[in-house]
Amino acid sequence: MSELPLTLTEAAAALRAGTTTSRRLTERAIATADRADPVLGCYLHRFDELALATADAADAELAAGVDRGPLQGIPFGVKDILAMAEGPTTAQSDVLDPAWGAGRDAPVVARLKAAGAVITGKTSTMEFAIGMPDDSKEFPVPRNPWDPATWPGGSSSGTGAGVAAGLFYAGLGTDTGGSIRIPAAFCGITGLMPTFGRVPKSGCVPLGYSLDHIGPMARSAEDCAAVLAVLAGPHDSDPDCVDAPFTAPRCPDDLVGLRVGVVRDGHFPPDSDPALLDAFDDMATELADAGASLTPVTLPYRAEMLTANMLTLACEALAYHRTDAQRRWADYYPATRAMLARGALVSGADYVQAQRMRRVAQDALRRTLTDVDVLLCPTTSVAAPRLDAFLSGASSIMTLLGHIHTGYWDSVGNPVLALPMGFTSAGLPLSVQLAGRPFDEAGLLRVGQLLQRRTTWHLRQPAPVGASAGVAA
Amino acid sequence: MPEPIAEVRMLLDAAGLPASDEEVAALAAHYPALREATDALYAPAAVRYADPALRFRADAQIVDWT
Repeated sequence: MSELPLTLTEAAAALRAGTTTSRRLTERAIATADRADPVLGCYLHRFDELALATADAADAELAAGVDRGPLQGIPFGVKDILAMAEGPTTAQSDVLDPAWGAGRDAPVVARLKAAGAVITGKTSTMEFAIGMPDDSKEFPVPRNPWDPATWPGGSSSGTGAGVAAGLFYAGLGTDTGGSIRIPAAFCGITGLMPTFGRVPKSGCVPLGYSLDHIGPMARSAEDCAAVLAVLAGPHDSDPDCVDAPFTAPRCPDDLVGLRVGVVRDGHFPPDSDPALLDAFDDMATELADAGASLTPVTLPYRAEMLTANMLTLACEALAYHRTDAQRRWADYYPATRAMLARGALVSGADYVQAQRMRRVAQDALRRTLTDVDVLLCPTTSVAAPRLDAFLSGASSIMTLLGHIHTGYWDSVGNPVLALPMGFTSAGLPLSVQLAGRPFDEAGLLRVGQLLQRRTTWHLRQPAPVGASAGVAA
Repeated sequence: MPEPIAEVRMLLDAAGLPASDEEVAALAAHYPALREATDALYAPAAVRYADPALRFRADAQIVDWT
């Protein structure tokens, strides 16, 4: 494994230098999946033959001087709530109509194909991106390659675990309350939730219409930038998506002049992981050593935005699911039912009030981001929790909510980059978030790239998982 | 029947969601906190005259994504 490039960007360079081929990268990805996926449950559908054919086409094009950009020939995973012509979309549910999206590519999938990405399969999630780990139906329970007894996070579980385990170099996730950043955090990889409206979300099974973001998950900030450059741009089918140019930024030499707001309030509850504070302080120190100035900041209307996230998500999800839920209640997983039911417990006025409060918080945050350029806070205050508590029903998402610090950002819509920042004493990854002004992903990615030039957390790999590696679930 | 359970049951029935008694009880346990957090959205002075973050365009069309 070590003889092949570790990051997407390195692999793209190696393809152009002629030191590897897309076929080699893809065959390695397939072999890794053969070994590890029976344990990790990253894939719902694999496209081995299609992937090899796409890899051969990429190799032929590159040899002929046809360069589609850095995703060409790169093994890539797609979360199975996004439509792709070659395979079914299930949203990890028995409820979704198989005819939905059949034979069609979501705009983001079409853009990946046009860029020459080698899509190796559709990755596992939680039911409709809101369930929780559950082994009561036939879908796999995604597991974390750092410790298969733990949860990889969700809902972009398979994409997060797959990048960490080397099943593909990058993948698509979606984020409505944290579903890109939570698995990025628990799996020790980098995830970018773009600004709401940066990437078209049509062709994605909706969860929260005003909260859904599609974005990249990969090993590094540089990799995420390369993917976002392909995904970004308007599409007529998504009225939220705007025409805001994005170009992958170059890594700066330093961060002199950068003003960083350091957010601690509410992010370090008493039962946080003991390693969290030091890891977070170390990342803040890295920023300062690179020339940035640090200022303590409190997020405006944090409690209200967490409520607005949950309330909006539940209401918008219930609007989408109500007809099916009335008829097929038992076909949904219990955790999905619980979230959908919450949408019935508030009024229409409450929903509108949440949207009024979101506007107020956006404006207050805009003012905060005139005093600082980026904000720094932990992604979660604990590492990946054990799966057995979820599978037995002893734990639910409610037990984790105080430790997950992602939903605020879905409510306000600003871009957020989640980066690995260290490990717990048990060897599980910890993660930090960098948040910025709307449509300033380039600014975040510059900071992320420099941090990852100064640290190596994003390059750490879990021990191989699977039968031939001698590791059981 | 404790009041939150009755209220939750009524709201779920109104939505046509056939939740079990066990599910209703679990939701009712969190319902007072949900109601309190939701009511808190009306409290900040800054929200009194704020427009909601909703979208509506008179010229909008439904456009297929393929």
